[in-house]
Amino acid sequence: MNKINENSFPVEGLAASDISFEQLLSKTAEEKANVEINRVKISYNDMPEYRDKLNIKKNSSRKQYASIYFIRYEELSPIVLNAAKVKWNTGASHVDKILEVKPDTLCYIVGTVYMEMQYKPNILAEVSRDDWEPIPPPREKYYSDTDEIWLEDDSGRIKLVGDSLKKEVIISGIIMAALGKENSQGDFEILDICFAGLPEQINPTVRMDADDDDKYVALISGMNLDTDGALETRLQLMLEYLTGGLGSFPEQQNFSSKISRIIIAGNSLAEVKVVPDDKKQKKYGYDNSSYDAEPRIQLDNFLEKLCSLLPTHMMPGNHDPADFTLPQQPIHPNLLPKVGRNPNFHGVTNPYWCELDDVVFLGTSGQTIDDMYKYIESEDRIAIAERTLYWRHIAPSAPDTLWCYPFERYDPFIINQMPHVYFIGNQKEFATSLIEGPNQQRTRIILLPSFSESGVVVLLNLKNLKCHTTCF
Amino acid sequence: MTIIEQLEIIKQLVLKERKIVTYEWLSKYLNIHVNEAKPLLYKFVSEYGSSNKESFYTVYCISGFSTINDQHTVTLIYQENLENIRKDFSKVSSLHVYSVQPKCPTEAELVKANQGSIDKVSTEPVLPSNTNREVTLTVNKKESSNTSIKPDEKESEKVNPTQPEISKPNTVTIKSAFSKEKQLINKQNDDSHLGKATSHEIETSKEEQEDRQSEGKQFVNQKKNDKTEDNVPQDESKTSNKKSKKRKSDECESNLDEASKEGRVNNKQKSKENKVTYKNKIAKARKKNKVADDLDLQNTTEKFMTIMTIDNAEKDQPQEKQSAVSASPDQQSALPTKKRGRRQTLKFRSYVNEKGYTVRENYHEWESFSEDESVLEPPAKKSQKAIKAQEPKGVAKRVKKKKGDNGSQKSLLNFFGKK
Repeated sequence: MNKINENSFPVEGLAASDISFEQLLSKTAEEKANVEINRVKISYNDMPEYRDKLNIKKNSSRKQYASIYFIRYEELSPIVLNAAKVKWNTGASHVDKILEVKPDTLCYIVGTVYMEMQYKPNILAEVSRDDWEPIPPPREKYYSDTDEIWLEDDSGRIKLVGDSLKKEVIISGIIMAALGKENSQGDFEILDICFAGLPEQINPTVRMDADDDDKYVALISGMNLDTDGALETRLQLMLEYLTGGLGSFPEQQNFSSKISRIIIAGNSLAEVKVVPDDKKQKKYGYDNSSYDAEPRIQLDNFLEKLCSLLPTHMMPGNHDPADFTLPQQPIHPNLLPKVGRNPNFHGVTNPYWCELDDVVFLGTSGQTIDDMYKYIESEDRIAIAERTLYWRHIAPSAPDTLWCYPFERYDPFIINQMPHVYFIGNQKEFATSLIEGPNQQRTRIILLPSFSESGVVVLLNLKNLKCHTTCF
Repeated sequence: MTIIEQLEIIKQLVLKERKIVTYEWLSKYLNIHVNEAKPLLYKFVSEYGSSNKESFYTVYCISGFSTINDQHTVTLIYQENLENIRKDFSKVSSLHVYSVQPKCPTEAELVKANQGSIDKVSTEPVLPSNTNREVTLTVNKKESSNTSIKPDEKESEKVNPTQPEISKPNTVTIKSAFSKEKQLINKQNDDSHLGKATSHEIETSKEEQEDRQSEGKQFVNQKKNDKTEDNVPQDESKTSNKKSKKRKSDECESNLDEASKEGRVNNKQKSKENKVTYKNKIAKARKKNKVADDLDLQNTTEKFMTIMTIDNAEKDQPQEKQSAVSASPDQQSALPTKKRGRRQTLKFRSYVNEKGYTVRENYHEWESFSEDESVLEPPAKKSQKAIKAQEPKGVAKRVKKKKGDNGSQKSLLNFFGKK
């Protein structure tokens, strides 16, 4: 995990602190000829093969969730099996069905992981709870020492034990191969585990020539516009900076004008908190006078100014007025009347695949990682993000603890090609790392902090996948 | 225009009109590129800053690598902190004047300043007489939610300087009438209308101003009538009588034609009419089921009158009460006093079916009814009371949110009666 430091400051040849104010302030007056600058353009491909999978056409929820697990298993288990064969073929043999595992023989099995955790919200417990019992508060972590890990396939399931399990990050819903043998109690003692591994990357070497211009994509999440009323100055400064007003000429020329797009990764509106008001007469049920449209209108105004000068892609987050289940559908254009039909504005799904100038982006608004974070003991979120690429699945905990739509024919969260940029929004703080795979894959993983808390906008250089943060 | 002229304009804006002039707003105002506006502001600051007679305050924007944050930072600096904050930046990529204003601004004011509407790109030299034409009404802003604007500023802005002195009081009263009506009417509708209204006002030419003066007075009177009409539709959606409503709305319509230039009023009337027609549909649908058409007018007129009087008693408007009270006895003497009609009632009967079981079933049936004359004969006041007593029976369900006074239960505590 490298933090961005001074070396990557993009605006070259700039003032050190000994230059006087006058020079700085009046600098732009000299270059009268070069007052106007144009913004760089990049191509956009919204990857219809993914977009079609993520956009739900028929909204029927009356289906079982078992299908999505089955599809996931069908699609990923051959890949896992191949990886396992490569890793372990010399020593052990593969057992096709888990039920056929014989005691005391070294073998490897492939299946879906299921974690039995006492703190995990359990639908059966909820249903059987008496009405007068208060709802238990949501826990920050489901992890406990009594957790059990089971491996399932279409024939049966077996419990996994072993110390090596504790070192690995394991989540319900991943497809995994386990090497070990069955012990006397019927549990499978693990010696080693194997995952699907990093997928192939199309265009692994990002092909930019050195003399091409830098092109940046801005990534932001968690603006959290609230009912307070006034737009903060931070937001205003950000708007002016990105639309090209703020900044002296050299900075604009070298930097601001190179920002070609902005992707907003969720939570543009703050979480709605109903403040109980004693003066108001109590209304049972939904009190529609408590709805305040002000934040949405503000967001609309903000986006209108932004997307008139900078193409914007907006993903919904868990606070936004979009579906709660993953994959979240784009925010309806009628909710943002001014920008909804503007061609510069793209309302997109969460998770989101897109290709900007041949650089493949994959992003989520954070719910996937936040949910997985509850399963493990460690605090390392970027490790979870890396793991998801190895598991080839964006959200393995769906539909177990993460709400998702019951897919029947395909699982849209499977990652079958390696993205160049993998960004996750609404995280606690900014973090980034570059993964390199065995087949020359290179991916930049970025955790975006919430803008309302940190004021950070991340600018990604498409040429070399370097990240740059700007704080407002 | 030359730089000197531009500087003079800035001076006027900042010192005389006490505006916050940001580089962005200035670039739109003078129709120049933002990169020209910034050094222009700096020239202004450097030339006029030294003279102590008329002082102003400057806010700068700095962008660079900050050692505090350990990252590229863009931030605003107030003029006194310029030196200090500069030290925190190891590399400065840009530094320019962000805005100039008479005194130190709050954050909210700065944000708002950029949204100030610009009615005219000034290409002519600004003369003192023209300064009154400047309008800084923000089209999208709402009165209630904008807590950052100081009240005196608000007042001075809202009292529209585009019109000559005479019409000012009229516009103020109309606006205050509107602010009261806010409680009743959906906030957003109202404000968006106001917003539209203000933009309309910006565009009115001087010719229309004279017309408006005369109309304004008419309107003040009419507004009072309209106000009461407003009270009524808000409080009882379902019992609104379409006929009596139409009477009032016809009244309004005739005034409307004269006043078509007031865009805001048009909007208001339309919304009212829309409300009226929608409610009429509900009222109509209900009436169909319950009371015969020929007696509809009379019954509901009376009810409406009485409801109006009750309402006005609550709202404390003596004018309307008088008129209503005077109206109702007239109505009553003119109309027949018996209440007759068909209504749907719930009855039940029991019978023995083929298996030998006694079956009891409920069914609705239409039957005719008539009510006593004696109830309606006594004089106006008593009749009101009597009708009032009768009214909750038939009308209770239809009356929507009235505070307290009806049979329906508003909250759990009302069940236990008033203490």
